[in-house]
Order: sequence, then C-alpha cells, then structure tokens
Amino acid sequence: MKPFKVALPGSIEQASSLQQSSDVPFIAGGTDLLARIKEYITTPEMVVDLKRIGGLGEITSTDHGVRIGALVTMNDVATNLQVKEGFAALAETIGNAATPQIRNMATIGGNICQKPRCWYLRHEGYSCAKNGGSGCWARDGENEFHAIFGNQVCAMTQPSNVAPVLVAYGASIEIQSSVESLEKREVPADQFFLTPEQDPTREVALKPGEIVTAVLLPAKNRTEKWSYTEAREKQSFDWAQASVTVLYQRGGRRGDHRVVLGAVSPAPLRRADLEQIIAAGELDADCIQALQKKIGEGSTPLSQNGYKVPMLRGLMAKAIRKLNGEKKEG
Amino acid sequence: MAEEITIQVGFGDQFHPLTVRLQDGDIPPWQPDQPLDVVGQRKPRLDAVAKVTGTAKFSQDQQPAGLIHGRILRSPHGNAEIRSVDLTAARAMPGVRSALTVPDTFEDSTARYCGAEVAAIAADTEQQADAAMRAIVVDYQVKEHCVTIDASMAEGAPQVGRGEQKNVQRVSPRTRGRRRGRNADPDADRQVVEQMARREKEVDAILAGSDSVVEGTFRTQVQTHAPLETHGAVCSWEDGRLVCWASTQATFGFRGELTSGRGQVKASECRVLSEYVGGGFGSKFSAGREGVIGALLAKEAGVPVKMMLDRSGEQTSAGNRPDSLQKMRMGVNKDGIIQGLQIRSWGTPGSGIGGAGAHNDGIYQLGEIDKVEYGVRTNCGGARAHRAPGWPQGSVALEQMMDMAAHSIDGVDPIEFRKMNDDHPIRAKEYDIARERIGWDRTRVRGGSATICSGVGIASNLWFSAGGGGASALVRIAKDGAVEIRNGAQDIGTGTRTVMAMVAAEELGIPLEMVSTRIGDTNDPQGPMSGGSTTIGTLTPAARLAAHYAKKELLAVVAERKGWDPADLDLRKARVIRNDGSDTGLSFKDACSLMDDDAIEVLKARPRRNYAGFSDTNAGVQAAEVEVDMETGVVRVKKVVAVADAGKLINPMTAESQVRGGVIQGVSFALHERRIMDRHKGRMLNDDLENYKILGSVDCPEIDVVLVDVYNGKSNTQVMGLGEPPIVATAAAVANAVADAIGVRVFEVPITPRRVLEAIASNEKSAAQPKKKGARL
Ligand SMILES: Cc1cc2nc3c(=O)[nH]c(=O)nc-3n(C[C@H](O)[C@H](O)[C@H](O)COP(=O)(O)OP(=O)(O)OC[C@H]3O[C@@H](n4cnc5c(N)ncnc54)[C@H](O)[C@@H]3O)c2cc1C
Ligand code: SF4
Repeated sequence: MKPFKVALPGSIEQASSLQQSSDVPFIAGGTDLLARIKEYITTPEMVVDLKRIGGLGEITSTDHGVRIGALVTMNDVATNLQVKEGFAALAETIGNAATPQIRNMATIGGNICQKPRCWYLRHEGYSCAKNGGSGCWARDGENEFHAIFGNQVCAMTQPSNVAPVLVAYGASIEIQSSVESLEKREVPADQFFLTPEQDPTREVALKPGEIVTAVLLPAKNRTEKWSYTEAREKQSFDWAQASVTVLYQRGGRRGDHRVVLGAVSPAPLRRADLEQIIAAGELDADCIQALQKKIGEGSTPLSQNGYKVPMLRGLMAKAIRKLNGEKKEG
Repeated sequence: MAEEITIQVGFGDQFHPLTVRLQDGDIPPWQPDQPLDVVGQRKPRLDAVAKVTGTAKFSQDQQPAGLIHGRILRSPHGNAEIRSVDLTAARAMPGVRSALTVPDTFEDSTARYCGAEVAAIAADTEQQADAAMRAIVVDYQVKEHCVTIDASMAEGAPQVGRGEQKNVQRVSPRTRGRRRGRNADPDADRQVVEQMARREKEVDAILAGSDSVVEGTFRTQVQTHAPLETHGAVCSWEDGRLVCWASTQATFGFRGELTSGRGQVKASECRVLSEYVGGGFGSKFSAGREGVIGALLAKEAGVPVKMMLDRSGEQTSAGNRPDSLQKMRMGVNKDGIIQGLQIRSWGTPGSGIGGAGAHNDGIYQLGEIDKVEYGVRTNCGGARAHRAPGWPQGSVALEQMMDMAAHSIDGVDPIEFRKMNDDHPIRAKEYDIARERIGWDRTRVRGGSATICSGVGIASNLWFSAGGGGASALVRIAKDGAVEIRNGAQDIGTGTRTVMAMVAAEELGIPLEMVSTRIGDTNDPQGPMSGGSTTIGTLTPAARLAAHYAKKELLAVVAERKGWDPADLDLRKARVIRNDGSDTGLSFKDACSLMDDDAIEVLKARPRRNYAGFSDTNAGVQAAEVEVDMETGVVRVKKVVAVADAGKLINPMTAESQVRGGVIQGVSFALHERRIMDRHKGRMLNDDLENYKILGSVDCPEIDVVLVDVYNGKSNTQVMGLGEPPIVATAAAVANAVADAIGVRVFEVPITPRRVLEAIASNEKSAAQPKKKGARL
C-alpha cells in the first residue's frame, strides 16, 4: 500500500473543499476504498474521512418520509424499524449483502458509491473504458459475473444490492457540496446511477466535491406487498448474480408497481414493460409466464453469462409467488 | 531378538488372530480387550486455548528485534523471458537493505507464467518495501501464452515448454528415460505405444462384450491450496547461523532445501522453527523460492527479514491442484459386475507435466483397465501436492460413472452396485452406516417441475498409509515429575502435538495433563514431513517406544531404591503399581523424586517396517444430501455423512476434526473453488479470497462424522492416515446427489449456478428431441 494522509474535517464544507478532484477520495467505512488502495488500483496522496462530520449518522422521520444519513451502517439500516415497516425490501436486500462484519463497517453512502467489482478493473494493468482508456476486456474475456443488459461499452454490474431497491422505492439521494454553496441537491435514484453510455468513467452522478449526505425514502411509496429475490452462489461473503425487486401497489391500493433488476446491468434496470404485465392482470401463473417470457428481452449475453437469463426468469417467478404470500423457499 | 507374538486384528465384531514377528525392541500393539486410559478418549487439542485466544505465535507473527520486510516482484506477463533486471533505482530507495534477482540467484530467466518470481527486495517498512519493489526495472521479452487446458491442447497453440517439449505429453504409461524431462528412447517409446494399442483393443473387446456400456467426459477445475497463513518465513542470521520461523509442513525438508546450496548455509548451522502452522494442504513441503529469498535477503541485510507471501503470490505461485479432463467408458454386465474401464485423462500442472494424473483405481474392482494419462503444459503457476493429489479429480469422474453404470442396468441401487464391486471388509459396513444416516431411502422431491429438488449421492475412498521409518522421539521425565515428549516435526493443525502427548501419557500411565509436547524445531529429533497422511502413523510408534523405555528406566530406579523386582512394577493412573494391580504406595511423582539424575531421557527410533496387519488400506464412504433450486441453479449441500476409519483412533476428537476439514474443502471444491485465468493477459483474475470463492461457515452443511475404530496391527499404535482420505469422495458424492436431485448430470465441477442452469436447459432441449438409442446421460 502506498502511504496516504487522512484529513479529518468536521464539516461538510471543509470536507467538500478538500476534494478538488476525485484523486482525493472520501472515505466512510473504508471496506471498498481501502481494498482498492491496497491493490494500487487507486493511489491517493490523501483521503478525506467523513466520520467526524456531525448529522450524517442518524435515521430520522421527516414530513416526506425517512431520511437515512449517509454514514449509517448497513446493519443499522437493515434493523431499523421505520425501514423494516415501510421499506422492507431495503432491509431485506441489505441483510443479504456481504457479511455481518462488512455490514457493521460499511455505510449506506459508501454502498451506493462503491466502485464496480469487475476483476479487470480491480487488477493493475488493465486500461479500459471505465478507467479512462478504451475498450472492455470482459466482453470477450472472462465474464461469468458481468452484465447481460447494456453491456456494449462496459459490462460491469452495479455492485450495490441497495441500488435497485432504492430505484424501486423512488428514493432520492441528498447531495451537498461547498461548490454549490452548500445547497442541498436531491437526485432521484434512477438518475443517480449512471450507465456507461452516460459516462463510462462514473457510476454515480457525483461531481468533485459533492458528498452524499443522506438517502431519502418517500413516505408516499411505502409498500406493503413487496418482494426482493436474488441468487448468489454462496450465502455469505459473496455477491448477487442477479436480483429482482418488485413493489406492488406502491403507497396503497391505487399505487403503481415497480420492477427493477439488479446485478445484470451497469445501472439498476427498471423494467416498465414488466410492470405493465403486472398491472394488466392477476398475479397468477399466466402472469408469471408472461413475465418470464419478457424478462430476457433486450439482453445481450456474453460468452459466459447467458445463464443469467434463466436465472432472472426463475427469480421473477419466485418474486410473484412471494407477493402472493407463499412462504420463503429453501 | 525377534519375538513372535499373536495379536487380534479387526474391527467391530470381526476380529481374527495374526502372528507377527516383532522387530527388535518393538512392543506389541494395544489389544481390543486392553483397557486404555488416555488413548481413544476425546481430548481437546492441547493448543486450543492458545489458538483461539491468539497467544499461539505463527511464523507470520514472529517479530525478532530489528525485523524488516521482504517483497517479491512477480512477472505481470502470461509468458516472458527476463532479458535484464536493474536493481539500481530500487536499491537507492529509502529504507532498502538488500535485494536480489531471480536470474542471478536461481539461474532462471524464464518467467513462464504471470506471477513468476523476478526479483526481491527488503526494506525497513512494508511501505518502503512496496515502493522499492515497484522501482525495480525489468526488461521482458513477452511471448504468447496458453492459460487453459483447451487453449494448450488446441491445434496450433503456442508452445509453452522449451526445446522439443510438446504442450501435451503422455505421463502414463511412462516410457523409460522420459523422467527428468529427457527425451524418451524412441525404441522404448515405440514399444509402449504398441502395448497401449494392444491394451486398448483388448479392453475395447471387453466393453463390446458387456451388457451395457456407459461413457462420460468429466472436467474438474484448478483448486488452489489457499491456506490462511501464506507461505514463507521470518529469517534471521545470528553469528553465521540461520534461524527460520517457517510456515511449513516439513521442518526438516525446509532446512534441507536451504542447506542444499542456494541458502548458503550448512545443516548444522540452520535451525527451522515451526511451532504453529496456518495450514498447508500439501503445498508447504519445501522452502520454495520465497524461503531461499528470505534467507538470502536477511543475510545481505544483516537483520531479520520477514518474507511471507501476499495473497496474490500465494494464489498464483504457491501451488494448486491441477485441473482434469477425463474421458471414460465403462462396461458392466446385467449381474452388476464391472467388466472393464477405459480412461483417457489430461491435466495441467503448470509449465511442467508432473502431477497431472487423476487417480481412480484401487477402490472398486473395475475389471480390465485401459488407462492413458497426459500432462498438458500451460503458462500457469505449477501444481503442488494438494490433499490427496489426483484423487478428488479421479473420484468425481469414476463415482459418477458408477452411478451411470448402475442406472444403465435396470436402475440398480447405486449403493448396492458399489457393494457388488467392492471387496473391502470395512467399507462393506460403512456403506450401511452412510445409507442409514443420510436418509438414502427417504422419499424426496426430484427433478421435474418442482422448484426445490432434493437428492442424495454416494462415493467411496481409500488411503494407504500406516506411516514408516525415519522418525525418532525423545521422552524426558524430570526429577520433579515433569514429562515432555519431543520431536522436530510440525503440527500443521491436525492435532499431532496432542496425539503425541496422549500416546506418551498412555504408555507412562499418567494423565494427559502431565505431559507436554515440544515440536516444530529441527534441533529436536528427526521427524517426517506432514504429507501422504503419514505423520501420526510415523511418529506415534516412536513416541510410544520412547515412553515405554523411559518408563522402564524409571521403574528400574524405583526397584533399585526400594529393593523391589522391576519386572513386578508398572505405572497406572499416576501410581506405581504391582502386576497384581495393588498399589505400592508410591505416586508417579514420588517415583521421579527417587532419581539420582536430573532427568531420564530416552530417544527411540520408529521401527522401519510395518507388520502385515489387518488391511493395507483405509476404507471410507461419504454420502451427501443436496437441495437444488431449479430456478436459480443454486446448490446447497444440506448434509454430508462421512464414515471414516484410520486404524486405531488415538484421539477421536482431532480425528473427527480432520474429517470435517476434508469434507468442508471437498464441498468447496464441488461447488465454488476455481482458478479463473484471463485469456488476454494470462493473469489469474481471482488471486484473492473474494472472487476465489471458498465455502464459508454459513454455507457449510451439517457434517455427520462416523469413525470406525480398527485394530489394524500394522505398528505398535496401529494408526493409519487420515489427513487426505476425507477429501477424496466428497465432491463426487455431491455431484451424484445433484444428478439425483435434478435428473440430469453436471459433468463439470464446480457445480455452479451457471452449470446447473445450463444442464437443465440442455436437458429440456434434448427431451424435446428423440433420444439416441443406447446413449446415456
Ligand atoms: C466480500 C465482500 C462482499 C460484498 N458483498 C456485497 C453485496 O452482496 N452487496 C453489496 O451491496 N455490497 C457488497 N459488498 C460491498 C460493500 O457493501 C461495500 O464495500 C460497502 O457498502 C462500502 O461502504 P463503505 O462505507 O465501506 O465505503 P468506503 O469504502 O468508505 O467508500 C466507498 C466509495 O464510496 C465513496 N463514498 C463513501 N461515502 C461517500 C459519501 N458519503 N459521499 C460520496 N462518496 C462517498 C468513497 O469515496 C469510495 O469511493 C461486499 C464487499 C465485500 C468485501
Ligand atoms: S466491464 Fe467495464 S470495468 Fe470491466 S473491463 Fe469492461 S469496461 Fe472495464
């Protein structure tokens, strides 16, 4: 590891002004950043520790819903009552992620800002579209865990378990920066996560100096009927290979539905076409069949990840059965 | 004088007498009706508390005064020639104290795989060493590479080896002269080829005459050893003498390599210490380049150097279990008897070809066998022995063939089928135990449209070792009653330390708590490497003999001081007793206090030969129960029943722990572990513990260990090996269980969600088409 300095600002303003460029990263739980520093994937002279900044570590109720401070740990989010009651899919997805040890260190802010796990990106010596070069090693290389949708420029998958669920709930990401004279900016989750077509080098819509200060869950989208299903080879210390989040009747009987796929594309993939199928009829076998038929549409699997299509079909069926109250399998 | 005695050998209710001629000075093995106080008891390992509280110091933890840090620079290229290495800039970096290049030190300027050692450096801090390592300038001539078995075997593949070395080379049957990389004598080679052709024809004919023939092509992956403690040592020179705290499975082997030239030190001036070892699984038999580099860097620096590998170095360069491609055809008759087997197998042990084989014969009567094995060179880190080298690979293929063959003759039950072709008396019993405890005959949801399917699978193992000569133990009884047993070999986590003390305690008639073990120090008596599952079988007879003769000396002292008959005295429950069982009034400590000298020390060597005994092989059967999610392809192993035997069980608790370890590593091999090589740059992409997936505690199945105690009679402690056998059958049992659950066979391990989903999809496709006649799975 290359030695680096640690700045310990006490305010958002100080922290923000310390980050003139992305070469001076913020650090929260450090579970992602430190691993990249150790491997020389990034070699900052200085990191800016956010943990001294007050007000970022609580979960609070607001007029609009629930506000989760960026420094709240994943375990604290997963066990929080307000989250479990109104936004249970979020608690569920976090409970599945990584390991208990990591969830005790990792923050929700860090989780949604974490860098892709593409094994080319995480080894020295592979220059590609994502790290400022061109081309993609994975597309005609080793891609068992890579994206099957939207993978033309970069085949990374968005590594955050939380990301698709936030998109489904219509959450917003609260961002502050000294450049914008500390004005708070709220970016809807579906605009926060970027596709490589939007910008191959950034996965999230943060500019230098911008700090995620909170994740906002809107009360109007609290959902009683939901399902989060995912598949991973190992139950712990692993990553989802595909996930399906379904929110049924967001906010109440008249509410709309959301279907968002995770771990199969560079950014969470909302599927309006699947939502329409759900809206069109009963949650029955026909519906499952129609969804399964449709779900692979638009996918462009690579040499080793075609299995993700049947996997998605399977998860989709599970999701609907779960909405219908069938008990958890396995 | 050779004494002839009759002993009872056997297990359970099957015993028979056997006459053996004791080798000079040896003592008879414990007999089935002999009461034992310590041996056979479940005893927590002596170092359990030290290990869980962190007071146990591994090599990685050693901090001699003045310690500095070594780093090894590795080639980033899939295949290269090192033209030159320039250390000038690196040596000028802050904190640097010593440096070397691999071409100079090892006279090797090939860097035939990504991760090959190129140079090394030591500096005061880890950060300085990192920075200096990155300042080494290397000029490589980069060449084309092949990093997978398929790439190397492909038509027109770039050559991996040197000179006339072909990428694919036969390793068995072997032609004389081919050893050591020499070219074979063409005449001898032609003869072998002719023999092979004849054999093929013979077995072809046998298969043609069989009632049923099944065939399959199987693949297993490269598995790295991934011990928690990486390879390497902390090396320190004191007055021209070298001390190494090494992470090793062979303290004497480690020393041997350092003293054979490269390490620049004589055996009498080199001491290897290895009190605790964080795993090795067969990859730590020698000092390796890292060990030699550590010693040389420390010599130049004049201060101790810590030269332990980082995780990437460990994963790429410290050994692995080669992959395999196995094609098999088996002929079986309707009566269930196997007629013959044809095997062609290929494996990639790195740029060499040694260790490529997949072992599969010896367990069952397989009729006539026609087997040819090939080594395939790749630009990857070399193989090293990996827990039962060759066996899990061979087992994955053979045991699935067994199930397919059973199925092909009107669906004979797989366990019954195995029994028809297996004559091992112990295994015959073990099949029944496994069948019952796994719930073999329970009704299950299998295949079809269910979302979660359940299945069971079975597989067997064997092992060969009862240990051998070449080890001595020293027992020291001090005047104050302290008892110590010493041997220079290591305890790699198997429980050797505890078992040595138990044997000594039993023989001395004192409780375990009164004995301590000193091991892992080459200044102590010679001991074996921990390989081939031979450690305890080799060490314990020496330990028992040393304790036996130390006891005799102590009783002689007592007899002389008290005027008693030494032949009438014995030790039991820490008391001096008479042959009729009566107490002499003396405790063990009282007896020790009668010594004139400070201590009694007895050094005894293990008898070289083993006796005929009950059986030359261990048996062993494992059964697995799995659940497969048909929608996601995720496999969960719910339970593994592991029935194991290892001769006489000294400590069933540590024995059980060995079996559990084997099963865990076997399930991990069955479902997760795989080396992933990048075709573009020839680099291992999962040279870490994140993407190199290893079974963790949450995914670990219930492991039901059943131990069968066997009075084998092969040595005075009758111990057989147990380190390796429990990994042989696990993956095969899991593979069979998966096929049972989903109704289609996955011919490749690891059985990942991807492979399960692909198998289910291909099954659906082929179900839609008419079946080819006679074709099986
Ligand atoms: C073995 C393993 C398995 C894992 N499995 C999963 C999984 O299944 N699902 C999953 O979702 N994750 C998984 N993870 C990833 C883990 O959840 C992330 O590493 C973690 O959430 C990152 O949070 P952190 O607070 O430690 O972030 P840090 O490492 O501190 O930061 C991560 C990145 O975010 C930036 N950052 C952090 N906070 C802020 C902020 N407030 N504003 C702006 N930028 C910020 C940092 O600059 C850095 O680039 C796994 C990790 C490991 C090691
Ligand atoms: S998937 Fe993305 S990050 Fe990975 S090699 Fe391709 S472009 Fe780079």
